[in-house]
Amino acid sequence: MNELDRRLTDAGTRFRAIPQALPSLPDLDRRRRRGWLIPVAMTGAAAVVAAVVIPLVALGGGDTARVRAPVTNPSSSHVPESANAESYAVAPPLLRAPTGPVSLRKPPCTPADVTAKAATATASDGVLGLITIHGAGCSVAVDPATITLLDAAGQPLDVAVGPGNPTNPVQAVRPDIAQGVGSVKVGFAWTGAYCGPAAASVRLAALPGEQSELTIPLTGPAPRCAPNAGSRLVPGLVGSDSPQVAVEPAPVAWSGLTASIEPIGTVDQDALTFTVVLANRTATAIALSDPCPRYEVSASAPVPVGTMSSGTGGSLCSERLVVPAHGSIRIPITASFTGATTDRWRPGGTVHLAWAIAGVPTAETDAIIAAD
Amino acid sequence: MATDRAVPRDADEFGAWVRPHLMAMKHLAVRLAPTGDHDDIVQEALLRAWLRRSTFDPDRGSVQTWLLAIVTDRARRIRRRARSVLRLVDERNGSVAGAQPDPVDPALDIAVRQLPRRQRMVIELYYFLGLPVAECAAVLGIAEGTVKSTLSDARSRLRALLEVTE
Repeated sequence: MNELDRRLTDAGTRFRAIPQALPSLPDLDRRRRRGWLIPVAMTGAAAVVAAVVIPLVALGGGDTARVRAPVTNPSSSHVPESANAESYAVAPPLLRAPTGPVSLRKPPCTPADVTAKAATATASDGVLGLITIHGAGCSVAVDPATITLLDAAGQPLDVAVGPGNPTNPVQAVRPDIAQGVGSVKVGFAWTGAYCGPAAASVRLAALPGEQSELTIPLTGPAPRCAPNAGSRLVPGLVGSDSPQVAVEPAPVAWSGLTASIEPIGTVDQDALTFTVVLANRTATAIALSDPCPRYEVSASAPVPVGTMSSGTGGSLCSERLVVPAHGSIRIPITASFTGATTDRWRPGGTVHLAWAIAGVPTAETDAIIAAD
Repeated sequence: MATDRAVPRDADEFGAWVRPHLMAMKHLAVRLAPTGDHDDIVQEALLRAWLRRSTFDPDRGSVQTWLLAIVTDRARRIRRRARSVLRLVDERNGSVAGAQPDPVDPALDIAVRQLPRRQRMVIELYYFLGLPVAECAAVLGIAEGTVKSTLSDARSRLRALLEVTE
C-alpha cells in the first residue's frame, strides 16, 4: 500500500467512525394518494380512528396510471413548444379526504435553514408563478393565502386577490405532509392585464414565530399591459410531492369542460383500462397545456367489511392537448393498482371508478370486477 | 420477513428491508451533499425506493447497492437544483445553513472533489464507504474492471493534485 492509498484508507476509516445520527424512515403514510385504502362504510369515531391507522398498514404503493395516445374528435391541435412545463401543472383534486394529522418529523426552520426561489412563466391569461422553498433538515410552514407581490421598494402591488375556478377545486394539502422531505412548492396565478410597477419580489408567511415572513426575489414576466388593465392574484396550494405535483389553480376556462368515462364492462384487478372523454361545451377551444392538468384516479370496491378505495394519478402534460370548440377528445388511461387493495376485491363485484382534474366535475362510472 | 428476494409490500416490510442500509446511505449522502442536504437526500432516496421498489432486481445487485445507486442519483439532482436556488442568509448572524462536518483530511477532501464525476464516485464508494470493487460496480452500473481502472486513474489524478510522490 502506497502513501496515497494509506491516506485514502485512513480518511475513509476515520470518516466512517464519525458518529452520525441514523436517518429516520420517511413518513410513507404521506404517499397515501398513490395507493391507500379507507373503509368508507365506517362512520363516527370508528371512522376517525380508522382514518389515522389504516393507511399505515395498508399502503398499496406502486400504483400507477398512464395515458396512451389520446384520440381526438373531431380534431385536436397542439400548442407551441413554449407551453409551460410539468412544474407548472395543475394539481388534481383529492378524491378522498386527507387523513391525519401527522406530526412534523423535523424542527421548524429558521431563516438560515431555508433556500428559496420564485419565478413566473407566461400562460394563456397572464402568468403562473412557482415558489420553491427548501428547508435543510427542518420544516417549513407555508400559508399560501399570504402571497403578496412587492415592487422594488418593497411595497405591495395594487393587485386584487381573488378565487380561482371553484369547480372541483383542489383541496388544500396539509403543509406538514409537504414538509416531509424539506421542500415546499407554492403556486399562484397572476391573471388579466397589469400596467403598474414591476414585481420585484414575493412575500409569504412560511416560517413559525415572529420571523414568519420570507421575501423572495421574483424573476420572470408579468401579465401584459393593456387598456383598462385589471389583474388578479390567485394563490395556489402547497404541493405534497416534489417536484412533480403542481400547485397552480385551475384556469377558469376549464369550467367549460365536462368529463365522462366511456362505459366499461369488466375490469381486471391488476390494471383498470378505461377511456375518459373530455367535451368542450363552449365555442372556444380550451387548452390543457398552459398550464396542464394532473389527474387523480380512484377505484372503490366492496370487501368483506366495508368498501376499499385506492388512488393513483398521472399527468396530461406531455400530451399538449386542446379540446376543440364544441368538440371532444378521448383519453385512454390504464391505472394499475398493486398490493393489498385489489387482492381483496371480490371477482364479480362492482368497482366504482372516478377520474378528476381540477376545475372540471369528476367523471364516475361502475364496472364489474373480472374473475381471476 | 423481507429479504433481498422478497420486495416489501407494505411500510413495515419496507422499513425492515432498508433499515440495515440506512447508515451506508447516510454516509454516501454526507460525502456527496454540497451544503448539508444529506438528510434530505436520504429521505428523498427512501421515498424513491419506496415508490420504485417493484423495480428492484436482486439478480442485478444487493438491496444496499440498489439503495446507494438511488442516493447517488438523488444527490446529483439536488446538487443541480441547488445551483439555481437563491441561498437566503440569516441577517442576524450572516450564516448560511447546512455546513458539512469538518473533513478528516481537508486537503484530500478538496482534491477528491476536483476529480471527474466517475473517478470521484469510485473513490467515495471504495474508500469512504468501504465497499468492495464488485459492489462499487453494481452501484455505478459499470464493470468491475472499469472500477479498477477508474480507481487507478483517480489515484493518479489525486497524486498530481496533492503533489504526492511515491
